[in-house]
Amino acid sequence: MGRAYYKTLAGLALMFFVSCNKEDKAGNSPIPPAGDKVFIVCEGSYGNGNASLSIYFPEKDSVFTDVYKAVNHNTLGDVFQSITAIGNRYYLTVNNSDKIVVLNKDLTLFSQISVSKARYIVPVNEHKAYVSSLYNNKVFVLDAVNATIVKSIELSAVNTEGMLVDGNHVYVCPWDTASDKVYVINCEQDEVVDSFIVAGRAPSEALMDKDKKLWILSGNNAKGKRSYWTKIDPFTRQVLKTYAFDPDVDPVKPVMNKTKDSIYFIEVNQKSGSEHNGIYRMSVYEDGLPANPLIPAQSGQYFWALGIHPNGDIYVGDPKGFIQKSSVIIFDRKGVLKKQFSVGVGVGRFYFSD
Amino acid sequence: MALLPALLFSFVERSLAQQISDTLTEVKVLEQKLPSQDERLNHFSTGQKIRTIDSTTLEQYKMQSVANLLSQQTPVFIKSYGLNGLATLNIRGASAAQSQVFWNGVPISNAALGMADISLLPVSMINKLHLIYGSSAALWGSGNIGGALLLEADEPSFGEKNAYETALGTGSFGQYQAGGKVQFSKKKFYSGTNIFTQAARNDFKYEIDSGKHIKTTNAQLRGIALQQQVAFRPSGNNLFRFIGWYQNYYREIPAALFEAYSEKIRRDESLRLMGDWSRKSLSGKMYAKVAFLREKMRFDDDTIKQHTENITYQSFVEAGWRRRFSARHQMLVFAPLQYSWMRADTLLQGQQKYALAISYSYDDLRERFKASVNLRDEIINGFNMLLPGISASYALTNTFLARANMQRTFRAPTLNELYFQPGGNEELKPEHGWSGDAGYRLQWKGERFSLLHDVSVFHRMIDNWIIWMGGTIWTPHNVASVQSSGFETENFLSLRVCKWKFHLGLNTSYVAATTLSSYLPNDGSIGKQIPYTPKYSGQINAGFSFQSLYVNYNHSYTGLRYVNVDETGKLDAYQTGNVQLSYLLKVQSRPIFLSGQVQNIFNASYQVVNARPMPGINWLIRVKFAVGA
Repeated sequence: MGRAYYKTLAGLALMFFVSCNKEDKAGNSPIPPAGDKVFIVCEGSYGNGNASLSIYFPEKDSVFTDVYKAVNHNTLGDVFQSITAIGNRYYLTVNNSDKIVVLNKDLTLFSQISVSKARYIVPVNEHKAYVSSLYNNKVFVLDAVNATIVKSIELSAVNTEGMLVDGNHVYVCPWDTASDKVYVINCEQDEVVDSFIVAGRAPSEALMDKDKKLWILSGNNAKGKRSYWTKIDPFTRQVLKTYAFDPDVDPVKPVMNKTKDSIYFIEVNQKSGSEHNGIYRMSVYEDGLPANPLIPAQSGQYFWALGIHPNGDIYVGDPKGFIQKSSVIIFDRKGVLKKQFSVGVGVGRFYFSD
Repeated sequence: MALLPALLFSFVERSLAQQISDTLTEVKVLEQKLPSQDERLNHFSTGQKIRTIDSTTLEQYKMQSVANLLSQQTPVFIKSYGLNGLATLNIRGASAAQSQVFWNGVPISNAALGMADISLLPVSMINKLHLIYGSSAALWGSGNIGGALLLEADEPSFGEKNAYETALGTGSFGQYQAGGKVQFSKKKFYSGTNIFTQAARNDFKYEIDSGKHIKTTNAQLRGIALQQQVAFRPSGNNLFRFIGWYQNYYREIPAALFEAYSEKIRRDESLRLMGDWSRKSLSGKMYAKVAFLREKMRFDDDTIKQHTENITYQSFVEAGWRRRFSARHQMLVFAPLQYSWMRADTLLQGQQKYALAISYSYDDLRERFKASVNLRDEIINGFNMLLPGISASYALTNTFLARANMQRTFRAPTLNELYFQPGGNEELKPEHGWSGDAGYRLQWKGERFSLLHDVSVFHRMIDNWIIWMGGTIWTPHNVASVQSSGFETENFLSLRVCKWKFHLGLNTSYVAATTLSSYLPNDGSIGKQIPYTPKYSGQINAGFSFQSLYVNYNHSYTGLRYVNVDETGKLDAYQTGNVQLSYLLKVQSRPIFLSGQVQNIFNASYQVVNARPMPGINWLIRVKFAVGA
């Protein structure tokens, strides 16, 4: 009886512990079940190699932290920038480790691809994706079947950043303070075929609204470049409207809601002051920028991650200075607090998957 | 008659001894060897815990940096980013910017960073090293929250033989070193030249997560250090001195464990010039010193197209007067003026520090009770701060001494914290608080056996603690109140048996440095240990000397460190064993000093800072030829 009895007892104790600990199940090697799940990109703190992946299951209201390490028994790297699903795999860009980590659907490691300062990936189709890269004037072409980089496309500006796929065209924003252009790549030919000018310098993000109008966010607050929204008709290249932020305002990480009629973005105040610090929402038909935040940051706080769940919930990430575990705060579409939980260091992005 | 001044002198100045070479025509009064060249340390630091590294130990580390020396010989935590990386002080849980480094009384911490990279301080450029534990802001100025490191150049000697020495060294990972020292001495003139140069490939192997062994690349080091001292003593009491210290270091920064490769290169160039004058009299000493420091740091990383160059300047002037009113009472008045400046984002930013300090010390003449009261009024860019301090010691017996010390502490934000672009925060408030420590020392010296047992306990509270936070842009914030408490012990046994002399030393430290309150919402750091502050650390030194042979085994232990403020991210405790050997050989009456070291003898795999591997077993040997020494 002895050994079997103790094993059973230990098993029961473990089950009790796991079932009681809903908030944090690091090290439990979760194989994510099908269904609604939120991948939470935790950048880590720059230079510390403590990037991690957390997963939240809204229906089960459970969180798994440091999932990559739990499954693959290895650290992810330094500055986890983004996650993208293509086919049966997830592609994780780990910026300061100069690599893309490719995972199978069960989150086991498939392969790693060396790419200099990879930032974001957009799937062009099931077989091909584009990868943007900080400090480089290139967009890398990823063979999503073999998980290899097959070629690169050169631009005349550096810091390729946000990208948007629209039919045969991919709009690429170079976050280059010397540039005021967005480049257009024909994704069948993998060639730059056009470019157009936007307001300000250093375009970083591209979104498309329900009327098929492009929204380009530009600016680099740290380098003294004022931020703008430029609304453009992508067919005529006509600038429909520009929205100028106040000179010291730092808008980042914009997202559209599911119906693509509202833009949400973070205004970051790195000094954690109350001015221009929080989550802002604006209609795509708005004449001006929102004056007040939908969700203001508290004193000593600023937000670094933002996502809109298909059900309309607003997911906000508080990195808490990148020196401790981050908080994920979920609000309903009116900005009323619903839930809060802890994830890894430096929460940076949300990726909604089913 | 000629004897009279000498007799008076010996009565008034208890620390002076006299030597009469000719009772009829000449009296020579020579100063007894004081622990330091600095008045504050010699006369006004009673009650403060100070550790002086002896010359025997310094000699063993002549091929290494102050960072290595302190990490193996003191329980101070040295936050080292590995070979060629930055190394900074963490004394009693204080951050790097909260401990100051002085060279001959001049603060040499980088004016922009407020900290010194002690991996760039070669032991061969230093004659004496004192470590002051705990705050001493009233004496040494603001910024000394954790403690202070005092470095001293050679003390000029007059009328002695000229001396020459040259040393060559080599070691693992392509390490080569060469150094030389020339001392030229006349009755009124002294010149000392000290040069040290080193190069290393630093291509050691380390293990990664998969178990594979990787050889370090981009890890070369080249450096040269040159120190020139000239002293002139026109009369027995007056001394003029000039010291120049130039260093130029090229360091490649190897890839961290999470990096595929590294192209980072750091170049550090520093120029430190100092002139001082001192005049001794029967009733005390007057002195004045002036210094100019220039620190240039260039960082290149082709991978991220980053090429930055920062130059900081500092000018320093100090005048002081120590006056002994009677055998029991003496006072020191001194006024340091410091101006630091740098160019930040095309704007010239500067910081002015002016202070007037008064120190009083009392000695009951029976070597029982000593006390000092220090008060400093410091103005930093118009911000006025009064910094009082009091310390005392009492010898209950000839072998047992108790001491206590209480100081107000203060640190103004550094130039980088205020003005660095991007990220500087001009709204930062100064850190301030109180620190106190107490302890006892049991010291017994016999002909064959000696014993030292020293215990200190400390407590410190700091408000407005500054922490750098951020992702893409790092910004300093006043976030917290931090409390540090703990103790240190220093133990040393020595036993002489015939020609053998055995020694056994044990240093230990316990530091609990925790956040008490925070301005951040839902801050997880409350009650948690400050990052990179090991709670437990210690060293054992055991060995012997036999005639000219010296053997020492050093075992250093550094406890677990947290990477984040909420105690997430842990770095395991580590321990290293290190062996030091030296032998003095005489060839035709010329001394040849041979020394060798084996570091990390058990080939421990460890990291001091996250993801920066440290080298396994490695060795160094050195031969030194001396003439006239």
